[in-house]
Amino acid sequence: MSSQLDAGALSRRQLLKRGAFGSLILGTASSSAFLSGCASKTFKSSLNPAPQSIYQFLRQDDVRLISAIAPVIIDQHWPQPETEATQARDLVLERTDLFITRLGDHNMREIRQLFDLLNQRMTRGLTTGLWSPWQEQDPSDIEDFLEDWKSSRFSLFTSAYNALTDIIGFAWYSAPQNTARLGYAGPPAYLYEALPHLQEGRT
Amino acid sequence: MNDLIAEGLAKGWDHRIASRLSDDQILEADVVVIGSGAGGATSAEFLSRKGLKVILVEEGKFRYQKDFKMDELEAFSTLYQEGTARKTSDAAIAIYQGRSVGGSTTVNWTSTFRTPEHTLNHWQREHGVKGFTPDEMAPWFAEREQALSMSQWQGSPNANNSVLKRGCDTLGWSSATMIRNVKGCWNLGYCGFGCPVNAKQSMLVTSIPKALDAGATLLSCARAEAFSFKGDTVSELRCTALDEDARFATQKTLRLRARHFVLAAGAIGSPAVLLRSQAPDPHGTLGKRTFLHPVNSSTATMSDAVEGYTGAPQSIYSDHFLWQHGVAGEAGFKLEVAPVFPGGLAAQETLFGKDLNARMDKLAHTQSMIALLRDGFHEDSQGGAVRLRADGSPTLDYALNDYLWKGLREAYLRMAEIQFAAGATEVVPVHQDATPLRSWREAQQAIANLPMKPLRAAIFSAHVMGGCSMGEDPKRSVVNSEGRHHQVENLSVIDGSCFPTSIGANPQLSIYALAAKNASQLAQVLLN
Repeated sequence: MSSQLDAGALSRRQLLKRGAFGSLILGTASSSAFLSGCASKTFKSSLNPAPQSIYQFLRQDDVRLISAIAPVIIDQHWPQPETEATQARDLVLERTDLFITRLGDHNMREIRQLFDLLNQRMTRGLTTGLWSPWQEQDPSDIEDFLEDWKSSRFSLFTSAYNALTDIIGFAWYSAPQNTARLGYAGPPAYLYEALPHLQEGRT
Repeated sequence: MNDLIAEGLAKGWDHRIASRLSDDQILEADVVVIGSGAGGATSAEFLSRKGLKVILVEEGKFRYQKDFKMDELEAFSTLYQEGTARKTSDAAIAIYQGRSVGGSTTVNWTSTFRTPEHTLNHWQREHGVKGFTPDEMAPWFAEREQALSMSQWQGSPNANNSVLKRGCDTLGWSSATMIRNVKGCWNLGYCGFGCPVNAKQSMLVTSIPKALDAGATLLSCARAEAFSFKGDTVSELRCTALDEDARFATQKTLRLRARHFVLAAGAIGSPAVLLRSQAPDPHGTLGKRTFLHPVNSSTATMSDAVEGYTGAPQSIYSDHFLWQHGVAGEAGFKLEVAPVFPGGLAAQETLFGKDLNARMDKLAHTQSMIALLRDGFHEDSQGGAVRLRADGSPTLDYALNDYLWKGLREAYLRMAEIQFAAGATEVVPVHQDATPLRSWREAQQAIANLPMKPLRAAIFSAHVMGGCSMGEDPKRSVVNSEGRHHQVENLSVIDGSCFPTSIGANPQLSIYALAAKNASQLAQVLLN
């Protein structure tokens, strides 16, 4: 393995290249989506076309994307044992899907563009340097991609990074079962008796 | 628990859910009020009480006590505009506005201030506003304070707020206890999730019930699209019915007809309705001079537990730096704290991996301070502009410039200084390039070198103001000081969009008082 310094220098060089290509690609993706947005003003273009899916927004390849990046974002708070990790993945997918479907037409279209960009091999490779499918990615390479986007001098990448970490971070840490050991387990227990409506429809 | 809304609905309030329309519909009234937040609900109350027949139109759903489950995902995704994802067009400023019956009053933190005298005098002097001097406004503030049970918070501040007080005391800076609009508050800390015990005296439990008791019709899940004009009058308002969750358009439409229309859709929504209507705008003032109180924040770790998720979210503030450079000088700021819930903290920090874990591990010890910048008082602070996207939805262009960055950098500094003075073991300015700071000395140097750039500094706003400025000169404003549109005969704008600058304080009482005053005047005109 080469020294960290060399690896860092290489990734910065790659980033410069990627950045230039990337903004062109994002620009192209945006303008074509913009046109299709004009043509179809309804939400339906953003919702899941597969009627048998348990998700309203997420498609099969989005599920692979989130399943790969969520454990990297949540890192040490992501459970290790396989059954728990599977439950964690299902929970984050379910909550991400629910959250996105409530962000309104405009944001749903933007997120659709971002996910499509990250799911198509060519656009993903050019903007992130990750050419293999998400399920084959090494977590440390995903980390590098997130760090690159976070510190990118192109605002499109920074805001895309913000959107990814915001949505997945919120989906995970807004679930009280995930934060009980951090000190917040949801509303104090006595309230469930005092306020019966808290129980209703709770999952 | 008594739920006065459930009781009101049971006794026959006229609430109609547009989602349930089986056909397109035409409704008529004396006045159609668009938006049920601070401006619209107050207007509806004052007009209805005078015997005028009012239809109060709201895009959001009628959610009330039974729906407020103290759950972050549920609350954020259903009670806020764009599920809390609303941002300026460059994505650099997150914008939190309410989106259900009651508007932002359903989710605000109950912090109450009269419009500062400096602000009112500045409007009169610089913006040709008439009738808004401190003396003229005093009775309207007093009336609303009484009606909405606004009084100084008697409980102890929670640990999060205590840090602000302790830090200011140590440094010899001024701070004070807030006035809040609550009655029988349980001191839980969930104001931003919708009050689960009906203690917050929001529009949901005050003006809306009063308007409905007086015979108003509440129409929820109905999006105001545009006005139709006949000459220089509005002939009708075209609305789209939304589904039961108020998310997506159904195929049904409504047309609302009235003698007079009151636009109160908030400082992004109101200009948007006028822009979609292609309303007269001969001087290009519509949607311009939109202000945000841009907010930056500083996160501290305290050695004792803070539990920023419990207790009244805001009870202490400091105006020490608000007017320090004069009314029209360098940007001043108001200091407050923000509640700390885990989902919100994770979303705000935009960290990932070990950095995110480290922040979240300190959740219970995290203190969050915020600075609200007073924008719109200086020639270098002209605010933003609301415009329409291709699909007709509104967006806000708002550029953070050197004038604002200078104020924000000073705010990062002062917040860190207070936090260290109050005993913080670590302070992190909420900024992509910031690292944890161990001392005030270290903080001074680090903050002086932080790049003040969009998307690097985390900036948000919960106070959108302006865009339909009031004033007597039609060349510089959209409506006159009574809220009457300069070019359209039977149209008023009565909400936070009328403000010619930002307020320089949390704006709820400013909006209530403006609405009480201008809706009363309107009622008089309509009844004569």
